Amino acid sequence: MKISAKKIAVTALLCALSMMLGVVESLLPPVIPALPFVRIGLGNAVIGLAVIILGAPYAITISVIKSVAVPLIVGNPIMAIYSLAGGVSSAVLTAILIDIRKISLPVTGILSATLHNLMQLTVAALMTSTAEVFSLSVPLFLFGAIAGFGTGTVQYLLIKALPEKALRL
Amino acid sequence: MRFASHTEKNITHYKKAPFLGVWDFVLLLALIFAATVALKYYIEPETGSVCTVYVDGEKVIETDLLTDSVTAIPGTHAVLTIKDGAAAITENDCPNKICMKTGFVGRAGGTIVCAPNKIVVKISGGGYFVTGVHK
Repeated sequence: MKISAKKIAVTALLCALSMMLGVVESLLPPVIPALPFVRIGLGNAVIGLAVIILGAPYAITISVIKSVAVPLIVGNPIMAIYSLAGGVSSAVLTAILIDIRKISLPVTGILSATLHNLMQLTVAALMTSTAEVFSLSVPLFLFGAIAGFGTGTVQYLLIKALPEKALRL
Repeated sequence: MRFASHTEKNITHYKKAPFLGVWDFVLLLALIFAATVALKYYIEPETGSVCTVYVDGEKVIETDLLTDSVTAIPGTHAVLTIKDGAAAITENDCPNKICMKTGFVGRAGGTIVCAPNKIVVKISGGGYFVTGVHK
């Protein structure tokens, strides 16, 4: 597969953007004080955009780099396991859903956010070797769905607003 | 290449795509239905009466919530406090302190999880106040 320099540059740009969003997000106070691990996942909005304008392999690469780099920058290496499980699986789902072109971006966001949370809960359950962490699933899925709808809407608006010349690489 | 043609089609499609289509409404309805069913099982107003602490999947402490107490959890640097029928982890050495930020949990089915130190505090209800049975 021939990869153009322009595509590599845009991949690096989007990768930096999603990492920066992830780091900034970790500096913000928690959205819901009672659930400090609930975050918006703005960095994941970049993944969907990358799937559309670059293609699935690029988007998954961005997701892997982001999932490892952000926890290291923030100074919480254990988080990398959670991020990797959630981020990569949701990136794969996003890529599949966007490539079949049947459902719209906000709903794609909801579904991939749900998978993200499910994978993180599974990792947490494996690490604590108890199934009790799944009692957190209802608030997590609820806020995950809202956040996924938000990031999907951001992707939708970006695709509509950006000129077609900028999207075709 | 194959992926390049994919992106061409994707850009053309998503440039014209509506905000929500027919499939989206079908999926959203299915999701809302699943969420309603899940919520029905989640909402339990019952207050808890027993507090069980697991470290690495093994039960280390089992106590009732009626008497106030402060106990160190064996094998960890965490401290379990029981006050006014609710339990909390009030001291721990984990990096995020998510378990401490969870605060007091007194509802049956409520849990406090500390992933780095593999501690799970679980509140369960009933058992002690079953009708006709005095324990």
